[in-house]
Amino acid sequence: MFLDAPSVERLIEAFRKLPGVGKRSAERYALHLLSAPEEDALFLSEAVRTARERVTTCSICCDLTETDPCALCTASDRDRSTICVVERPAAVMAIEKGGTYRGVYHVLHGALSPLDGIGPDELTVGRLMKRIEAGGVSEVIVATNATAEGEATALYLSRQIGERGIAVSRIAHGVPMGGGLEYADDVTLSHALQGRTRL
Amino acid sequence: MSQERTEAIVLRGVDFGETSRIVTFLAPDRGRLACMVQGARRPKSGLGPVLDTFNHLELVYYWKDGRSVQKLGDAALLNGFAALKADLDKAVYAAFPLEVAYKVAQENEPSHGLFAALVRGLEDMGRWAGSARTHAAWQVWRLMTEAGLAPAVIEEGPPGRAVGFSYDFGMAGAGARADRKLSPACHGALRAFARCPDSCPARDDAGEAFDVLRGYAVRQLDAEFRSLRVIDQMFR
Repeated sequence: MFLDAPSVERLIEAFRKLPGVGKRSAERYALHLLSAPEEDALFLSEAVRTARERVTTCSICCDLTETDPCALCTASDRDRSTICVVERPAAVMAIEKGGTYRGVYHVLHGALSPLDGIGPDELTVGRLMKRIEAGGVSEVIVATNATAEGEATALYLSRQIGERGIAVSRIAHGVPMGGGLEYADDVTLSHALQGRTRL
Repeated sequence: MSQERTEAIVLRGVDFGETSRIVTFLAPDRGRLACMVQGARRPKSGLGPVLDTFNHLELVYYWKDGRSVQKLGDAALLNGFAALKADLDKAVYAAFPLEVAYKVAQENEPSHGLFAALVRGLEDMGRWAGSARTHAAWQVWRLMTEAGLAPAVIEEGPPGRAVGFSYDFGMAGAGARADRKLSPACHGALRAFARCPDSCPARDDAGEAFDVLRGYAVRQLDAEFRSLRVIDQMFR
């Protein structure tokens, strides 16, 4: 399509590497950037470059951060005896939005997925274990996703951490706030009933 | 475009775009069937939760000739294999037969035998009280058999000598080139696998049958299995 403009082809190829972006979307993004004001395009390129240069993973919790250790790991008002284990940095943001959790986090950067070749060595499980072995942890809350991969990860962590005599809990799964029972699917309802709590 | 209804097993899924997923199923009439599930990752999607790996579902989908990814209309859970998923060893080992099914199934080709063997294998594994490693080996034997790649079976070995196993054709007698020797326990387990299509025979072979069948599957399908890398990482 852009045979006389290799730089545009290169830009399209770059967009195609993003998750969920196909050829047509990549072409649309590239053409938009080329027709947008120059400062907008340069702002994007500068934002990508700066983020790549500055963002690293926290040496304690493995979350994305510009300062190591991250703000959550160094905050004086967080309870370091409770670690909430999540799959992705986005889950930390989601829980923080809730504003009720006061412990610290550990980001695994994925979940056990044998079909994708992802085992414990591909995750940050080793760093979590070192953190626990260093002492001062009384509870680990496993907040992995409610999928086969998330459940397998929870079982694996429960086995590994339970051996060290530390309490391991799993977040509850069930009907979302504002959701009507008649619209909930069978699997969610079944989990909600299994995880019921006494009032 | 026609609306079709079928049973299916979820083989794998990948995220697509902001909220969608492309899920690959094994369906009796269509073999390996990939479907786009729009909005599957939205919090209130009714479809997302039932599309978990291993799940046995009833699907309604829209088939269009020449399209490599079809469109899913509806899905209802028939069996979530909860007992299997609640056991770490079973959940990890079951990924190997699931990956074998994914690799031997062909797109748009009826796979009734393969589908039945996979459903039966996963159901049986949920109830199984023995080694998950042995059960996964039995499932792989059954799936390879349904795919027309059954290993050769020799009931009796040469007097005083162990039976061999070739990854090219199965059990090997005297004079035939073999990749490995089978212990008497493993030979017994593999013969029992060949005789038991409906449930895994209770045999203790210290997991040797699994090693034999992984070698056989890798050679026969000329493929790498990601699940084996994770199994090695976790259980060796």
